[in-house]
Amino acid sequence: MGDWTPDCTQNTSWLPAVGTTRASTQEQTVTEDKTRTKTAPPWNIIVHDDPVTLMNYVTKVFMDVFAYPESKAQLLMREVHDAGRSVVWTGAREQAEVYASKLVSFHLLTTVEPGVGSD
Amino acid sequence: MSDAYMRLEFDKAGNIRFRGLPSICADTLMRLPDILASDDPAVRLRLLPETYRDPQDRDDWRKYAVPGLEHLFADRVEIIARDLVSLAEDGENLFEMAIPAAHRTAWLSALNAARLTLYVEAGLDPEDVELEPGDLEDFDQDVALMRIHLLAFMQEMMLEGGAGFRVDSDEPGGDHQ
Repeated sequence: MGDWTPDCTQNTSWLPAVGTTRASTQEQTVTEDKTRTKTAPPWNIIVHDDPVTLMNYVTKVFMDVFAYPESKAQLLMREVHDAGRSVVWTGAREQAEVYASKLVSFHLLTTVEPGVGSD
Repeated sequence: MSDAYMRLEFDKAGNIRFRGLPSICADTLMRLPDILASDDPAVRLRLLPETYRDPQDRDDWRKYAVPGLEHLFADRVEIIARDLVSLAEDGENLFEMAIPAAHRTAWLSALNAARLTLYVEAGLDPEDVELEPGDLEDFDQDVALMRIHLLAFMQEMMLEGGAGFRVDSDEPGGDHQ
């Protein structure tokens, strides 16, 4: 779930070329390490259930904040309600903070947590 | 004879007019600015929750995000207080009130904040919210529950009537950059 995808599909400079020599392979390995350090680890935005906030209000907030279609917003709202929490968005930390601030402004119980690959 | 039921009307510009509000609903609305001004630490923690687990991240959040949110919440209280001036009797012992289209986001959010505040201040449990007013033995809790349901009804009417959040919200610093 979430919109974050690694950017490795865009930057293929670290991919070993066919027929590379040993020296160039080492060089490529160094390049690969540098490329990886540039890829920011993802952060999750988690919305937690509360007994007061109306379900259709939560759906509207998800549609408004993330521009999700109603079907996706309802699915996430239902997960919050049934499971007690839902990862509603995953991606770069700076954007996560912006989204989290918006969710809190609508009074949704929100946390930001490091995702897989974060420190 | 008037239409003695609570209802909501939109004009072409998206402005809202609540009609047929019973006196208990009008009374709850008039209390909104005070409810929203609660300085109860438990309420504050619910409305401005600890968003990060890491202490340094928490400090940064409090330093950089919380002041803007507090400002936004205060602005909403002002908007609500201003719109409540329009709350008036309709001559049939019922009340009506106008909400400009640009204030819909402020109202939907503030109604949610007020319901959360009432819930926390009254010390209600999740199961209590499923009950009907009159079911709770504690009078103050029962009144809080009734107000929570009334405000939920208004929120539902706004949402079901198509009054979602407005991109052209009046809110300073807006929710919709």
